[in-house]
Amino acid sequence: MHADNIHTSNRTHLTGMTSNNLNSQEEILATLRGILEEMFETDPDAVVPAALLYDDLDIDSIDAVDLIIRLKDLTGRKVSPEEFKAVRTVGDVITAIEKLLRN
Amino acid sequence: MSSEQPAPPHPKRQGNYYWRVFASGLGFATFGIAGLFAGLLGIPILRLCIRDQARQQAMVRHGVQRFFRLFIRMIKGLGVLTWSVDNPAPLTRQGTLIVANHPSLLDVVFLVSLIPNACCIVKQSLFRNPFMRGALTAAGYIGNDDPMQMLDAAARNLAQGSPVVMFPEGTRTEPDQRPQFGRGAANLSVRAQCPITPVFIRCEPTTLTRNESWYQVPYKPMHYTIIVGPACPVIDAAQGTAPVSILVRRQQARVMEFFTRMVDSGRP
Repeated sequence: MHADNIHTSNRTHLTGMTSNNLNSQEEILATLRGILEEMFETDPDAVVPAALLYDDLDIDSIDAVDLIIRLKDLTGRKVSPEEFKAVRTVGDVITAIEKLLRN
Repeated sequence: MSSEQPAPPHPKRQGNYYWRVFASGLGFATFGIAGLFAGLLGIPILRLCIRDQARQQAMVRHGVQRFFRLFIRMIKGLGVLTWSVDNPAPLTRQGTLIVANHPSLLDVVFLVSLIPNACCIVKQSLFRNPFMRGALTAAGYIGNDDPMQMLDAAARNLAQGSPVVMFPEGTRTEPDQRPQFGRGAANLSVRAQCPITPVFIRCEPTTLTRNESWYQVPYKPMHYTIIVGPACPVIDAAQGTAPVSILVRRQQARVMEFFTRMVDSGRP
């Protein structure tokens, strides 16, 4: 019960943090670390721009669709899966988020 | 009861080796020709005669099951292989999610021969194969290129009572390796809230692996063992607040545990 509460409060904290601070690549990376840990239990230290989503972080194609839905909520923009076709690395995701926010 | 010795590098060829090469070739030819005829003649005629799509599909699935059963009986009769099935009853239940490892080319043939009205999830490229496209489409089999469409279509089949057959290894396993599954089956299990019936397939000696051609028949007739394990229950998605992706990972761990137990207990 106790552990559950901690978990929930943690997540609220993360979501609260993510909605605003997406101004730089570093901030986007930090946000992404939180999201990947929350969704896929990915070790935040492994989330570096060069990391491959599938080979290094064990994020498969179904996870990617869930991630895209999450990014849609995060950025408030429409995200088409097409834009994510070429995404292979964490760096690619960051670039894609930047592009979304600019449009 | 003595423990088995490791096979020598070049075991002595047993039985009618060259006959088995010929019979294997005959088997493949039969399969290809039957597929082509079904696609070019059988299914178009069926489409003309039976308008109702659900009935069409049921008939094609029934036909596939019958043909596969006939086929494995034929190659058994030709002396190419033998097989045994341990506990096939769960395979005939409605709406079962059947998950198997994939050591050889014939796995799907054995499994589908045992399962009425089976819906298979198959590699997308098979839909581009002219020998198979017609039958696959008419049987309502599901391609795996778009993961979400695949999950939706498979969940629909389960809800309608069709057993769904999946090989989550994606591709044929190398011999002597423990099966390594992708999370597609765990995803379907959690999202459709359907337990998994695990099936462990073993083929001794190994044959028709990814790196072998049809004429490379083993030194003795192979024996397929098909073991249907106890159902792996599904994690209840309604309880708790964890995201689906986390539940899927938990379910994946559960499935792998079930399989590892089957593999280890099935080893000599």
